[in-house]
Amino acid sequence: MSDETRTAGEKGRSEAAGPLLLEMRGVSKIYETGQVQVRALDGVSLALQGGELVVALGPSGSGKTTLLNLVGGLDRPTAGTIRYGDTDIASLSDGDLGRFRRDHIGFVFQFFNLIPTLTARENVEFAAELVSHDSRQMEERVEELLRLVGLEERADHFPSQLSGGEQQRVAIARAMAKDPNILLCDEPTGNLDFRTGQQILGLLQKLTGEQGKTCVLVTHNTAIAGVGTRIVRLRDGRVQSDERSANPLPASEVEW
Amino acid sequence: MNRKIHLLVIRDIMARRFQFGALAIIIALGIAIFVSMTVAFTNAERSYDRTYEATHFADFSVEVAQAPESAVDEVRELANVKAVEGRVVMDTGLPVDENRLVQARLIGLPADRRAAVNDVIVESGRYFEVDERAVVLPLGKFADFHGYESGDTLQVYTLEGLKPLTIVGTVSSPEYLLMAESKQDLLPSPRRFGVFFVPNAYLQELFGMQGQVNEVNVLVESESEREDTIAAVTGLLEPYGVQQTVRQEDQPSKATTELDLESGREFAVLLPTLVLVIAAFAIYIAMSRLVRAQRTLIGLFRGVGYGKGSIVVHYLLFAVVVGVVGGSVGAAAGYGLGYLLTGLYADALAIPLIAHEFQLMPIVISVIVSLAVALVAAAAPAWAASRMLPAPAMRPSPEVALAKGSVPFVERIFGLGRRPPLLVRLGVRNIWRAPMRSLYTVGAIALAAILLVVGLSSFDSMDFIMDRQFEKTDRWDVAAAFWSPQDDQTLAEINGLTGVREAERLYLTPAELRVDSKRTNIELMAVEEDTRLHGFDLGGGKTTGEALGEGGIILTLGVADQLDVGVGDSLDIATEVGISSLVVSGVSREFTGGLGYVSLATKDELGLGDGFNAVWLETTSPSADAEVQAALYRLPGIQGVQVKEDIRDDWREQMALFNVMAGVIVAFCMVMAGAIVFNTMTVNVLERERETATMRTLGAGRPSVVLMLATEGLTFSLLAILPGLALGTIAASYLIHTWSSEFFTMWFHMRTTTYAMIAVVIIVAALVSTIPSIWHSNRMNLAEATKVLA
Ligand SMILES: Nc1ncnc2c1ncn2[C@@H]1O[C@H](COP(=O)(O)OP(=O)(O)O)[C@@H](O)[C@H]1O
Ligand SMILES: [Mg+2]
Repeated sequence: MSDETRTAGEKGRSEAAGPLLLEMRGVSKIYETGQVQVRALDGVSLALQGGELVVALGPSGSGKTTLLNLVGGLDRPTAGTIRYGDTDIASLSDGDLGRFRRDHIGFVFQFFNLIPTLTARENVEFAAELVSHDSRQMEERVEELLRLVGLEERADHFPSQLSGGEQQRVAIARAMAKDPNILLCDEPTGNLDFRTGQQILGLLQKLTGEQGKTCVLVTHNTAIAGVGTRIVRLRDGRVQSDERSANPLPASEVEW
Repeated sequence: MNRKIHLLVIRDIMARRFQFGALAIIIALGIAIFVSMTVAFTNAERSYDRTYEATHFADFSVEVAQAPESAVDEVRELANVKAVEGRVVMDTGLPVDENRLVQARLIGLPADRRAAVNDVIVESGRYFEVDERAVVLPLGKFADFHGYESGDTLQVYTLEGLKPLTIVGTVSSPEYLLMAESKQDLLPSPRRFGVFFVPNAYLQELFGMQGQVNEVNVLVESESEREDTIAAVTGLLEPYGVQQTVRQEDQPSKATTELDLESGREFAVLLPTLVLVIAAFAIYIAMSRLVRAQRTLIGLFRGVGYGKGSIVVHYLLFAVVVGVVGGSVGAAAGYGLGYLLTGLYADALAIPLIAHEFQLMPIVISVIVSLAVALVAAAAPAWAASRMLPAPAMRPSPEVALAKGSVPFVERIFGLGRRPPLLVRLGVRNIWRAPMRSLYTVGAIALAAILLVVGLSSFDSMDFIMDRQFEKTDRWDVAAAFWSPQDDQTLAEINGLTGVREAERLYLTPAELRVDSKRTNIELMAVEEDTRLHGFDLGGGKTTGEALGEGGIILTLGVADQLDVGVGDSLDIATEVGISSLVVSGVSREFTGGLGYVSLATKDELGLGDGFNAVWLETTSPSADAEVQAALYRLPGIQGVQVKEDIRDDWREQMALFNVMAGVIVAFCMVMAGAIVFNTMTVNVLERERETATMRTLGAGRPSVVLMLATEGLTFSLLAILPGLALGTIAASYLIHTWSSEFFTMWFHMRTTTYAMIAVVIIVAALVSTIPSIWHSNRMNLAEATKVLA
């Protein structure tokens, strides 16, 4: 399924856009809490293409997380459609949503969310096992990913024995284990010092640039915006601006 | 105490109401059992005491062959004698229908006044009128059973044949609250035995004892000098043939009810103690989880300046709420239940004067105990909370700190070759990650298993004992007793009855055994040396023939234990013909206490009457039993006939009540086991909410999560079952052993299928109780749960 996108992405990141991957049209999300209605997203239309590193920027409460949750199939929109290939994921059953997440989406969380009782390698294996049934092939993939995030040495350590940056790298390897087309990262550097954050951003650039993955990175930190190939500004649940950047900053030049 | 943070206690409790509810329920269960049983037994005890007082229950009775009424007047003059009554007590037969004769005990009461000792309480009708003669007051229990009412006429055998007696009322008597004929009569039933009060003068006339009595009942002034008084009274009555002296505490009805109360009271403390220990475990687990979950909040409290003391007080307040709510709900429910139980108990035993008095003590104890249990359980978590650093909020994930992350030792051993699948590894490590809590959890489930073993083994043990008694010990089908010794001609006659396969001769007589300062009253049974109709269990060594043949006495286990004697010891035996010495040649493991067996030859050596006064019969088939019984009743001099199957039916009836009680205990155990597992699994799952949500977010399906949680619940129960069953067996054996008394001996017995059933019940309870957690995991808002901090 990802062959096409991969070849497209490998042409290089400066090339603006790969094939259309996911399209949101007129998506709104209204939370009802008691008497109060909160319009977290208000008629958002957004198309994600292969190989993009989309930075969604906005102040707290602007609807960034809500956006990620809808794209990742953790939640359903109140109105609008979200097409992935031929399917409208907004209309999927819970079970099908689970399979959609399993097959196409990788999550990276602000607080890493590693499973504390599994080692770094096992955390990655856990995700890999969900999609692979060939154990040899799976093991190879896990090793490859650990090498990719530079953690082959610390693979047998438990999360409690790893630093925050290392934990987040394991989390990225875990997200990649299923070879998803879309990587969703909610404030992935929010809980890291800036040097470690740089490493993580570099890794995400590498994955989108070299492997043609599409990554949506959500942050309130304007300084990070520069690393994206596309910057979407959110305000009060609406898209304020949506710009492509021909020359993203290398992660090592970002400072905050 | 007036600090704002403490207001949060109620809010936190409401937010976790099911969990705190489960904790309060466990406490309430324990307290309710304690209060209800204590209230019921105290009520029963007071009712007994009132009855004894109202009827002037004798401090002791002396049975004599025959004494003139003037001797009774002499007894009245003795020091420390407060009141005395002489009366005639006669056992005779009373036909209730054509084929059935019940054993009737006729007891004389004064017609011109109420008795000063051992009076009766009139339940219906009226007491005797002056100079009334052929009237009778049967025990209410007997009249109810056979449907007799005032105005009906009963016939009793006397020296002059059948004589009519007219019922003028029904009564209850302090001597027959439990209508036991004797201490050996474990299953008093109005089917076989009844007590009838008759004007004493008329009774003397009927049995040719004008001016004579055969029983003297005494009430003393000072309890402490009773032994001296007994010596004086028996001394005075010695010339008239003293046969037996029965002290109040040995009196069959009194001794049995006392024993009932005693074991009830023991139970009323033991069971709640177990339950409250479990409650303490559960509270500890829940409070530890709460403290961990609120570490951020605690950091905040400490940050804004609350001291360690405030934190400790804050978390102890949770315990106070749980303790007070559980304790008061339990006490209230227990109190209500106690009244209900008192009523049931009073009904079952027909206690005439029911005392319902307010009892403050059980309530005070409950409140103190439930508070103490909750506080002790919460102490360690509260202390841990107060020692948390002020800024743990900086920690991103409490789980990381929680799980040290290491490959468990078991896994290293068993996972050497092929590594087990990840989900199984996760299950095992989840148990390992909080080893102390897992240990408590396993302990709590094991305790539930223990309670189930204790509860269910009572069924199995009773079944086992009944089976033993009716199949292995009593091998006869029909037993009959005669008023006086019979010769071989009667034996031939019995053997000639249709339906009789074989008859064995017996000689029954009351006796007192004495060893050093210990003494006990038994029924002495002289049996054929090669008896086939009674099965002895001498535990290897000697055969029955050897044990009986060498002229010794075989004691039942209850008697041997009470006298503290074993094979080879010698003892004194006092019978109506005097005192002799015998060697204990065997101890038979039998349910019934109070029995001793000698051979018929030994009986002759003791100087007891010739021949036999009872028989055991083997019938040709169970259907012949009734016919044989009817034929026996037609024999002259017959006192009573018992059919084993009838007795067995009586037992089953009695057991039905017992089964209801045991069933309640079992149901209660299951509720509790459920509450425990629910509490633990809820804690376990809540604690890992974020982790589980993450797995689901990654795309792990619901079945994987169900599998992981179920594996965990299952592992806990599997770890708990073996020790639970083992410890339960020990506890149950001990408990059942403590129920044994001089009246009967109990054995622990449990079927393999029952063990298996308990294992299944525990596993099912564990799995069922994980359902809410699984449900919760499956319904979690993944978007939220992956981000929660605590
Ligand atoms: N589960 C929810 N229930 C109610 N309101 C919510 C929920 N999740 C988010 N919101 C509201 O929706 C708005 C957008 O939230 P969110 O997407 O989390 O913003 P951001 O991630 O940009 O901070 C906020 O006003 C927030 O309070
Ligand atoms: Mg957010």
